[in-house]
Amino acid sequence: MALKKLGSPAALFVGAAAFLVTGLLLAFWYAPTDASTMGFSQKIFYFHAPIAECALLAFAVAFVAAVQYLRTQKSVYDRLGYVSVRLGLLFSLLVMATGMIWGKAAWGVWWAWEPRLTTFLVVCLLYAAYFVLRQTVEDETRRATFAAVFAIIAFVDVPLTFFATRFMPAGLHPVVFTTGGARMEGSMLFTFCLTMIGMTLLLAALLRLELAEQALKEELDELKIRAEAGA
Amino acid sequence: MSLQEAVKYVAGAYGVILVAFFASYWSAARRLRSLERQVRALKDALDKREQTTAGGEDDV
Amino acid sequence: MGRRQYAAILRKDLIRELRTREMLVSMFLFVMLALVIFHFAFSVRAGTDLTYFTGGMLWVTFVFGALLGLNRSFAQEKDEACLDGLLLCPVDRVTIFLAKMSGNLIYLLVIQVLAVPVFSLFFIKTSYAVHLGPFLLVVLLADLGICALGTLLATISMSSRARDLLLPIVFLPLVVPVLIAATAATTGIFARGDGLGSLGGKLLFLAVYDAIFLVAAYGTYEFAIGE
Repeated sequence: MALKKLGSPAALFVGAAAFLVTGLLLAFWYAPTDASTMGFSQKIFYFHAPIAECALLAFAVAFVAAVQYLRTQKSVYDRLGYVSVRLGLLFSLLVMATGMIWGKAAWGVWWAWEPRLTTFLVVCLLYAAYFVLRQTVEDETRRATFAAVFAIIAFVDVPLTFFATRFMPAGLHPVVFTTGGARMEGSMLFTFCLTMIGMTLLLAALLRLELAEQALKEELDELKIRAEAGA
Repeated sequence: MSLQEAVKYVAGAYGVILVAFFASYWSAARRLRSLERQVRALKDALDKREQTTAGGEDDV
Repeated sequence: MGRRQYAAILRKDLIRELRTREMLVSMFLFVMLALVIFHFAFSVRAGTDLTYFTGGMLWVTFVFGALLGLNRSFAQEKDEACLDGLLLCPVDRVTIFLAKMSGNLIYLLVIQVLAVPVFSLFFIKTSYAVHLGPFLLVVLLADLGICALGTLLATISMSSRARDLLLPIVFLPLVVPVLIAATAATTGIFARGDGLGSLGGKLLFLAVYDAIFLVAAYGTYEFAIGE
């Protein structure tokens, strides 16, 4: 499996921790406080944004795995898709949670229908449906096939949803979570890059761990079948 | 919002993140260990069974 | 060859529906009831002006009405094993998809043609005849997206244990972009008299959505319809 080339889970976790802890320290003691009205609460950005990008990365992995499954029918791709969507959903829920806390700190409201929060809400509901789909299809091959089809159209829908939210009229609270956009200050950008790398490593580590679990589950099922055959 | 309050929220956000990832890692590791144990146990049992049947055939 | 098969499948579905009319009647009644319920839901104060709710009410009604029709059209196929018979024929799977989608599109359009006059009677105070052109365009583009997506998903959920429950859950999140764009466009037309100029962005978006999902359906329908 290509992922094994990334290294053992342990190494990935250590790497992730190193980057994340360093990034966190830099965020508070090196990067300047945001000049806008967000002030100190902007510090949440250094984890919030990487988590969001990793969620989308996980869904992209699921998309690729789905395409590969439909092409090759190898169950390893179904397992990869399942694990990726699960992690993507976890990351998406975290985006929502941190986004809401940031919103409360910066703007005084727990929720606002601004494009990014709304998109991630829809994304959560969308990929939650993935699990409902898997649960209600009993035949294994069919389940994997349908899950793959869904993972493909779901991923395609994410950017469409984001663009569509632009059509929503701006509410009373024009909440916008940006930090100077692409023109972040040097020190902010550096810190952000560190946490971004760290979060990606964390995603890879969790993926490896969960994939190992799925592989073991299959091995266990095969052993059980052998045991019953012999008995 | 005062700095005091802001710090509380920022700490809260990072706390949520920490808890979520730790919980995810811990539950995955726990399930992995339990599965490894089950696989090993089943493998041992199957090997033992194959040994006894092989031994039994020799006797005949 | 493909075109004849497409026409044959489509005709079969339409004739069957025209004979019993059960689906069209149910969809129409549902839409009517929804409009009435919307009035009760929103008019808490006397003389509430619902002009800015028009887009929302209309498209929520159509999306849920479409769900009803989608569920029904595939349930019939499955229950009467028509689909198995169809799959045994050497028909291109994509042709089946296009025929089924066209059928669903026609049902939806029929319902809409009947429902929009009633809707304007209930909720629209100014004349909208002048806005008919842009409105029709919005309706056509949105319907295409709804039916393409809905047909693909209905095919999948047909094989599931809880098909009535599954289809809304997988369909609604995916149709959100269409809902947002169509609602914004429709409300713009009825409340502000938007013309094609200001609607351009939303219409383009709907067209892109339709194109993307038609391509996606083309690529995956073979897998969705199963062995």
